[in-house]
Amino acid sequence: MSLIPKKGTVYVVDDDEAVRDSLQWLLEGKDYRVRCFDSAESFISRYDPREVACLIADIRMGGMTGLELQDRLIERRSPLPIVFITGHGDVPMAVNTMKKGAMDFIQKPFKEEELLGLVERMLDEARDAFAGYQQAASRDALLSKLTGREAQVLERIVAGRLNKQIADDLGISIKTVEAHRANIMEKLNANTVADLLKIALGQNAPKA
Amino acid sequence: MELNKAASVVKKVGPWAWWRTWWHRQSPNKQDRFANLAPVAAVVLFLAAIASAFWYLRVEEIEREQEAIKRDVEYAQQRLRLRLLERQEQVMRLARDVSNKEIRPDQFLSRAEALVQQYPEMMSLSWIDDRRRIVANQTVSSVSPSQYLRAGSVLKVGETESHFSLARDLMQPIYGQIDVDADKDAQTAVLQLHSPLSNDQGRFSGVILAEYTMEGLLRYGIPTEVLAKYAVALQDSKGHLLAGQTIPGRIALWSLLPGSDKPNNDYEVPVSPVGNDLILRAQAWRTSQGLVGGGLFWLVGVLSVMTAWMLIGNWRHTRRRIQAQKALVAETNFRRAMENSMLTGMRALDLRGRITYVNPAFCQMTGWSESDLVGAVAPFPYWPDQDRELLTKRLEEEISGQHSAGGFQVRVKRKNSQLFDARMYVSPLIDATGKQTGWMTSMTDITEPNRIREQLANSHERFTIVLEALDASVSVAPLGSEELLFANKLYRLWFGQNTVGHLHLVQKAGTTEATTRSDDVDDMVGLPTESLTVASSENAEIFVSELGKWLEVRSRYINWADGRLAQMVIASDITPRRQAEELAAQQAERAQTASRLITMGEMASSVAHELNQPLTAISNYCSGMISRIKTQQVKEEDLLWALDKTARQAQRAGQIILRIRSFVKRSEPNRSLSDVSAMVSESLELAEIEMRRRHVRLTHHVAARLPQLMVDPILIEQVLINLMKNAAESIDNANRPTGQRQVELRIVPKQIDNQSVVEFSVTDTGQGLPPEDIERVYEAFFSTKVEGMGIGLNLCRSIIESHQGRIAAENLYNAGEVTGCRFSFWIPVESTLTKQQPTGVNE
Repeated sequence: MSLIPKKGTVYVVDDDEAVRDSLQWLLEGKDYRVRCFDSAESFISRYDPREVACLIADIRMGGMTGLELQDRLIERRSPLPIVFITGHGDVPMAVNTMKKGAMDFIQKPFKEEELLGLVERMLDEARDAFAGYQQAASRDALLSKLTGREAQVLERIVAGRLNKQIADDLGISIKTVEAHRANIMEKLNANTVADLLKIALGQNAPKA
Repeated sequence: MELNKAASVVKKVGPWAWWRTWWHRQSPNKQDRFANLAPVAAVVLFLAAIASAFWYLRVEEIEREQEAIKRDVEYAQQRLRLRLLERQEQVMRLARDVSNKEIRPDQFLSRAEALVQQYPEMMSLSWIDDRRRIVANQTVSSVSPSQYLRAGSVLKVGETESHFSLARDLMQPIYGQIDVDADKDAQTAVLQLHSPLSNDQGRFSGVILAEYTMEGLLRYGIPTEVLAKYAVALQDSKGHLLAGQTIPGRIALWSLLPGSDKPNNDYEVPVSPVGNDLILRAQAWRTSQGLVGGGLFWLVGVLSVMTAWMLIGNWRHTRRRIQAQKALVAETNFRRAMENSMLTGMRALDLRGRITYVNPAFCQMTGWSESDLVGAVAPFPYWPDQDRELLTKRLEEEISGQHSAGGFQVRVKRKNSQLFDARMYVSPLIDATGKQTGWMTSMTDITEPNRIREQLANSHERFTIVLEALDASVSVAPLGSEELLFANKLYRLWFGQNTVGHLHLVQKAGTTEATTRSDDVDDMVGLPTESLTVASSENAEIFVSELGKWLEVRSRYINWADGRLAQMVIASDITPRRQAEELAAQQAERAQTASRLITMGEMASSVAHELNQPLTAISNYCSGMISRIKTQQVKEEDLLWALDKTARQAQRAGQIILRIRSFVKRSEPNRSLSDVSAMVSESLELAEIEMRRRHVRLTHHVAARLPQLMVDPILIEQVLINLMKNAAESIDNANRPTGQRQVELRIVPKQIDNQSVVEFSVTDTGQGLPPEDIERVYEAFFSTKVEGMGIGLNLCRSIIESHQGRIAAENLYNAGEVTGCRFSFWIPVESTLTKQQPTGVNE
């Protein structure tokens, strides 16, 4: 089993041991890495956002509830896709979670295909989110190299201003603007203004 | 007015009329007393008059006697004096002759002899010269020689000598006495006369001594008639008897008589020539006259006493007679009152059939007056005309003595022609001498008894009708006998005419008594204890299969009319009531079951969630196994592990269903000694489902060593689950944060109202109850919940109260804010154990 590369990590948070255990058994059968937690608190403390993963959580739990867990993740800007497990009477609550960005909810007892489909979708999304997250992280790293004046100039370039207009706005000469522009191009590793725009607007880098 | 009249009468007619009016004014009692006292008073007065007359006569007589004695004594004294003076004269003449020396001693002697001879009182004559020598002496021969004054002898010193000296000194004749006591020589009392002699020169030359015997003086000096009449004595000045006699010793007797307090019947007078030395004393004999007077007095006295005694005796006799008369009057009055108050009419007939007497009751009964009836002969006015012949025959029988002892019944006509029934009894009338004088007939009006008898019959009939119409069977049978004393219609209808049914009921009621007495108060509550023995009724509800009925049987012991102890059994048909009770019980049971179903329904989503867990797990395990088997990448041991897990989850699901099913399904009322902790853990299992779903933490505390309770455990579980479910809902509705979602169940033993109980309390941290609803939560169909039906708490309360417990709710506050609610109920330990145990054992 270990030879086959894992498709991704699935976190399972449920206070019912049997449900937790059976989910693990099911998902591991489909070559997912499964990590189980018996409460939201213990998950929060051990969660590593740098991993491509998804979360299956029970919406009703002793202690921190599923909703609270979602709120905490949103606070952390975690891109982790979530699916809530709901009981019979919890549909309104589940709808509420979806408005807040949850992927979906499934009702117990769940069908295998449905669950696996959801997990697959979530992991896809997680991977995308993970790539975006990485780009954003590198862009942030590039942008952080710019000086304050360079950031002002970049802001105006992205806004579509001409050098002359930028010079007027900032009360500097065109020459200086051009020099900043060259520095920016160099620092952000951009060849064209279009590249510059992409980086500045935070779009993902074109896929390879 | 009256007084004036009386006074005027007195004035007119005098004291006699006054006496009369006074007499009439006295009460008869006083008159009697006066009449009784008057003769006695008369006798006493008579006696007093006699006594005073006697006394007066006595005084008169004594006075007269006194006078007589005085006169006689004076006379005697006079005679004595004269005689003495005469002798003195003769002696003095002799003395003169001697003084003048005219005679010689021999002449003297002759003259003296003549004197002595002549006068017997004179004892001796002596011539004594101045030298006390006796010159001559002439003495009576009868005198004893010792008294002789011998011629030539000298006077011895003594009384005589002192008299001599006195005569010498006075030169006068001197009288002197020689006492018998004083002079031993003197044998008789002697009176001496010393007549002095004088010589030529007128000088004393001796005396002539004359001696008289007192005896002589008395005998010859005192007249004989005086001596005969009186006891005459001569005494000296000291009272010594010289001569004569006195009457001694009768003074005492005389002093007893009235008027004789002083013995006045004697008189003393001194004999004058001698002087005070000689006293003449006389005492009257008067014996016969005193005796006669005294005897008469005594006779009168005794007669008076006898008369008085007889009068008193007579008076006492009269008094006794009066008392007897009074008693007789009282008795007569009593008899008359009795006769008048008697309701029985009495009629006396003489031997000829004439009415001689009727009493007031008879008059009242017949309406005829006594004067109408007494003296009447047959046909009597009270005879009804139509019965005349019969009654005439009856009367003839009566008179001839052919009467029946039981009396006979007749019809009697009143004066107003009304008829009534009477019973007459005849008995012979016997007078004091035992002779029959007639017939006494008593008559009783029997109309009223007849009416009462009729009424009694009517009331008995009514009573019987009531008893017959009663929709309970009533039977009375004596103890230990097969006899049926009384049975009403229903009894006869059910059991027939014998005691079999009665005894059957008694027996069955007796045996089932213990089980039917399950009420904690018996039927005797409120009855005073002393009446328990009297009204010791037994109540029992029994099923009589022969009739197919439930009967409530009451039996009690009664004293039957003939005094026997009997048992009365009243059995009433309670089949409809029984059925209704059973129906009600069934309905209550159904309500409880329904309530449990409702509870379960309300918990449905929780239960579904609870069931979903194992089902989900099972589904997951199965899916996992399927995918592994498909990809052939499963090891056998992994598969077994997963299958084991799956099976366990299936069991878990099954258990949940089992628990719910047992909670809902079991509906037979089943009270038994139940373990509190078992009940609690059972209810906790179910409650936990709800708690988990609502994310409420449930803690519980069960005190150690709780006593067992006689309860229906499923009902108590139902209450507990209800309360815990409500608590969880309340918390959920209050949207408490996680830390404040708690429910606590506490079970502790307690003492409430002096009985030990077990208290169950459920405390939540929810929103509490609105204060205005806290009293209403037990009402049926009242609910604070939107989807609630208002059944739960109402049923909880009826369950708890059917276990003799109480349920209460209170809000918990923290600084004015409701922080929760506490529902508690308790169930007594003792009552459930002691009172319910027999029931439980029997069932």
